[in-house]
Amino acid sequence: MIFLYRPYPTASTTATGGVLYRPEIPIRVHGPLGSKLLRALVDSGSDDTILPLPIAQNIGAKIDASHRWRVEGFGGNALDAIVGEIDFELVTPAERFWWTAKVGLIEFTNSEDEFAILGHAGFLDFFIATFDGGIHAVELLPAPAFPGMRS
Amino acid sequence: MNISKLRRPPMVPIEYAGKWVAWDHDETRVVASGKTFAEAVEAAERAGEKDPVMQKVPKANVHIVGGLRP
Repeated sequence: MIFLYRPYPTASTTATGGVLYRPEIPIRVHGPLGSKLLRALVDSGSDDTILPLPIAQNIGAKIDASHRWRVEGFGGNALDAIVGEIDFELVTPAERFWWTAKVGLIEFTNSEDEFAILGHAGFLDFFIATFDGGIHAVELLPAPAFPGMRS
Repeated sequence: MNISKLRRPPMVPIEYAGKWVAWDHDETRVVASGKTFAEAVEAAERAGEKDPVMQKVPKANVHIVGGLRP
Protein backbone atom coordinates (compact mmCIF):
# COMPACT_ATOMS: atom_id res chain seq x y z
CA MET A 1 0.00 0.00 0.00
CA ILE A 2 1.52 3.28 -1.10
CA PHE A 3 0.19 6.64 -0.01
CA LEU A 4 1.34 9.96 -1.40
CA TYR A 5 2.03 12.76 1.05
CA ARG A 6 -0.30 15.72 1.09
CA PRO A 7 1.23 19.13 0.27
CA TYR A 8 0.61 22.13 2.50
CA PRO A 9 1.40 25.76 1.82
CA THR A 10 3.75 27.24 4.37
CA ALA A 11 6.04 30.15 4.89
CA SER A 12 9.12 29.62 2.78
CA THR A 13 12.13 28.43 4.76
CA THR A 14 15.41 26.98 3.69
CA ALA A 15 13.99 23.58 4.63
CA THR A 16 10.68 23.67 2.79
CA GLY A 17 10.73 26.15 -0.06
CA GLY A 18 7.13 27.15 0.64
CA VAL A 19 5.53 23.68 0.51
CA LEU A 20 5.44 21.05 3.24
CA TYR A 21 4.64 17.42 2.42
CA ARG A 22 3.15 15.34 5.21
CA PRO A 23 2.58 11.56 5.24
CA GLU A 24 -1.13 11.47 5.96
CA ILE A 25 -3.16 8.40 5.18
CA PRO A 26 -6.89 7.75 5.09
CA ILE A 27 -7.98 5.47 7.90
CA ARG A 28 -11.44 4.56 9.10
CA VAL A 29 -12.25 4.39 12.80
CA HIS A 30 -15.21 2.28 13.93
CA GLY A 31 -17.25 2.23 17.10
CA PRO A 32 -20.68 1.07 18.25
CA LEU A 33 -22.28 4.34 17.08
CA GLY A 34 -20.75 4.42 13.62
CA SER A 35 -17.56 5.10 11.76
CA LYS A 36 -15.60 8.03 10.45
CA LEU A 37 -12.98 8.25 7.73
CA LEU A 38 -10.01 10.38 8.80
CA ARG A 39 -6.77 11.61 7.37
CA ALA A 40 -4.13 10.97 10.04
CA LEU A 41 -0.42 11.69 10.13
CA VAL A 42 1.92 8.69 10.12
CA ASP A 43 4.52 9.78 12.69
CA SER A 44 7.53 7.60 13.40
CA GLY A 45 8.54 10.07 16.13
CA SER A 46 5.41 9.40 18.15
CA ASP A 47 5.35 6.62 20.71
CA ASP A 48 1.58 6.43 20.61
CA THR A 49 -1.39 6.69 18.32
CA ILE A 50 -3.31 9.77 19.41
CA LEU A 51 -6.80 10.93 18.51
CA PRO A 52 -8.87 13.85 19.74
CA LEU A 53 -11.42 12.69 22.32
CA PRO A 54 -14.43 14.03 20.33
CA ILE A 55 -13.76 11.52 17.55
CA ALA A 56 -13.92 8.60 19.98
CA GLN A 57 -17.08 10.02 21.52
CA ASN A 58 -18.65 10.48 18.08
CA ILE A 59 -18.25 6.80 17.19
CA GLY A 60 -19.02 5.56 20.71
CA ALA A 61 -15.63 3.97 21.28
CA LYS A 62 -14.84 2.32 24.58
CA ILE A 63 -13.10 4.90 26.78
CA ASP A 64 -11.35 4.26 30.09
CA ALA A 65 -10.78 7.61 31.77
CA SER A 66 -9.17 5.91 34.76
CA HIS A 67 -6.17 4.93 32.64
CA ARG A 68 -4.26 8.07 31.78
CA TRP A 69 -0.74 9.13 30.97
CA ARG A 70 1.16 12.19 29.88
CA VAL A 71 2.18 12.84 26.31
CA GLU A 72 4.77 15.43 25.52
CA GLY A 73 6.13 16.91 22.33
CA PHE A 74 9.18 19.00 21.66
CA GLY A 75 9.36 21.95 24.02
CA GLY A 76 7.81 20.12 26.95
CA ASN A 77 4.17 20.96 26.29
CA ALA A 78 2.59 18.00 28.08
CA LEU A 79 -1.03 16.84 27.83
CA ASP A 80 -3.06 14.15 29.56
CA ALA A 81 -4.21 11.23 27.43
CA ILE A 82 -6.80 8.66 28.39
CA VAL A 83 -7.07 5.24 26.86
CA GLY A 84 -9.58 4.40 24.18
CA GLU A 85 -10.21 1.20 22.28
CA ILE A 86 -10.64 1.82 18.57
CA ASP A 87 -11.39 -0.49 15.66
CA PHE A 88 -9.27 0.65 12.71
CA GLU A 89 -9.73 -0.11 9.03
CA LEU A 90 -7.22 0.66 6.33
CA VAL A 91 -8.60 0.29 2.83
CA THR A 92 -6.95 0.58 -0.54
CA PRO A 93 -8.40 -0.46 -3.90
CA ALA A 94 -6.52 -3.75 -3.60
CA GLU A 95 -6.48 -4.60 0.10
CA ARG A 96 -8.30 -4.13 3.38
CA PHE A 97 -6.81 -4.39 6.86
CA TRP A 98 -8.64 -4.08 10.15
CA TRP A 99 -7.54 -4.35 13.74
CA THR A 100 -8.34 -3.15 17.25
CA ALA A 101 -5.93 -1.02 19.22
CA LYS A 102 -5.70 0.96 22.39
CA VAL A 103 -4.89 4.58 21.65
CA GLY A 104 -4.43 7.82 23.53
CA LEU A 105 -7.39 10.19 23.51
CA ILE A 106 -6.79 13.84 24.28
CA GLU A 107 -9.31 16.51 25.20
CA PHE A 108 -7.72 19.67 23.87
CA THR A 109 -8.48 23.02 25.46
CA ASN A 110 -8.37 24.62 22.03
CA SER A 111 -9.68 22.67 19.05
CA GLU A 112 -7.09 24.43 16.87
CA ASP A 113 -4.47 22.30 18.59
CA GLU A 114 -6.13 18.95 17.82
CA PHE A 115 -4.32 16.34 15.76
CA ALA A 116 -4.70 12.71 14.70
CA ILE A 117 -1.41 10.84 14.80
CA LEU A 118 -0.62 7.24 13.90
CA GLY A 119 2.43 6.46 16.04
CA HIS A 120 4.12 3.26 17.10
CA ALA A 121 1.67 1.79 19.63
CA GLY A 122 -1.54 1.00 17.82
CA PHE A 123 -0.22 1.49 14.31
CA LEU A 124 3.46 1.46 13.31
CA ASP A 125 4.15 -1.58 15.50
CA PHE A 126 1.92 -3.50 13.10
CA PHE A 127 3.36 -2.34 9.77
CA ILE A 128 6.64 -2.15 7.91
CA ALA A 129 6.78 1.51 6.88
CA THR A 130 9.06 2.92 4.22
CA PHE A 131 9.15 6.68 3.91
CA ASP A 132 10.43 7.91 0.55
CA GLY A 133 11.15 11.60 0.92
CA GLY A 134 12.28 11.89 -2.67
CA ILE A 135 8.84 11.18 -4.09
CA HIS A 136 6.90 12.12 -0.95
CA ALA A 137 5.31 8.72 -0.45
CA VAL A 138 5.00 6.15 2.32
CA GLU A 139 4.65 2.43 1.73
CA LEU A 140 3.02 0.22 4.34
CA LEU A 141 3.21 -3.54 4.49
CA PRO A 142 1.75 -5.64 7.29
CA ALA A 143 4.41 -6.73 9.78
CA PRO A 144 4.53 -10.25 11.21
CA ALA A 145 3.11 -8.76 14.41
CA PHE A 146 0.02 -7.42 12.64
CA PRO A 147 -2.76 -8.47 15.04
CA GLY A 148 -5.80 -8.03 12.84
CA MET A 149 -7.43 -9.37 9.71
CA ARG A 150 -6.81 -8.71 6.04
CA SER A 151 -8.68 -9.43 2.86
CA MET B 1 7.94 2.44 -5.23
CA ASN B 2 5.82 2.81 -8.34
CA ILE B 3 3.53 5.77 -7.83
CA SER B 4 2.58 6.41 -11.44
CA LYS B 5 -1.04 5.32 -10.94
CA LEU B 6 -1.56 7.15 -7.67
CA ARG B 7 -3.19 10.52 -7.24
CA ARG B 8 -1.60 12.94 -4.82
CA PRO B 9 -4.06 14.46 -2.32
CA PRO B 10 -4.71 18.10 -3.16
CA MET B 11 -3.11 20.93 -1.26
CA VAL B 12 -5.20 22.21 1.62
CA PRO B 13 -6.15 25.87 1.04
CA ILE B 14 -4.48 28.01 3.68
CA GLU B 15 -7.79 29.53 4.80
CA TYR B 16 -8.61 26.22 6.49
CA ALA B 17 -5.53 26.32 8.70
CA GLY B 18 -6.41 25.34 12.26
CA LYS B 19 -9.86 24.01 11.28
CA TRP B 20 -11.44 20.64 10.73
CA VAL B 21 -12.33 20.12 7.10
CA ALA B 22 -14.58 17.55 5.45
CA TRP B 23 -13.51 16.42 2.01
CA ASP B 24 -15.85 14.69 -0.38
CA HIS B 25 -15.32 10.94 -0.45
CA ASP B 26 -12.87 11.20 -3.37
CA GLU B 27 -10.94 13.99 -1.63
CA THR B 28 -11.17 16.29 -4.61
CA ARG B 29 -12.87 19.21 -2.84
CA VAL B 30 -13.62 20.51 0.62
CA VAL B 31 -17.36 20.27 1.23
CA ALA B 32 -17.47 21.73 4.73
CA SER B 33 -15.35 22.97 7.58
CA GLY B 34 -15.73 23.84 11.22
CA LYS B 35 -13.86 24.93 14.28
CA THR B 36 -14.50 21.53 15.86
CA PHE B 37 -14.77 17.96 14.59
CA ALA B 38 -18.50 17.87 15.39
CA GLU B 39 -19.16 21.17 13.59
CA ALA B 40 -17.41 19.96 10.47
CA VAL B 41 -19.23 16.61 10.51
CA GLU B 42 -22.61 18.31 10.86
CA ALA B 43 -21.78 20.81 8.12
CA ALA B 44 -20.75 17.98 5.81
CA GLU B 45 -24.03 16.18 6.45
CA ARG B 46 -25.95 19.38 5.68
CA ALA B 47 -23.94 19.63 2.46
CA GLY B 48 -25.12 16.14 1.52
CA GLU B 49 -21.83 14.33 2.06
CA LYS B 50 -22.67 11.19 4.02
CA ASP B 51 -19.17 9.74 4.29
CA PRO B 52 -16.68 12.61 4.24
CA VAL B 53 -12.98 12.31 4.81
CA MET B 54 -12.34 14.30 7.97
CA GLN B 55 -9.07 16.08 8.45
CA LYS B 56 -7.68 18.45 11.03
CA VAL B 57 -5.58 21.03 9.22
CA PRO B 58 -2.53 22.15 11.19
CA LYS B 59 -2.19 25.81 11.99
CA ALA B 60 -0.59 27.89 9.24
CA ASN B 61 3.16 28.15 9.15
CA VAL B 62 3.62 25.69 12.02
CA HIS B 63 6.00 22.81 11.51
CA ILE B 64 5.04 19.62 13.34
CA VAL B 65 7.44 17.55 15.41
CA GLY B 66 6.88 14.12 16.87
CA GLY B 67 5.04 13.29 20.07
CA LEU B 68 6.60 11.36 22.91
CA ARG B 69 5.41 9.54 25.98
CA PRO B 70 7.79 10.19 28.88
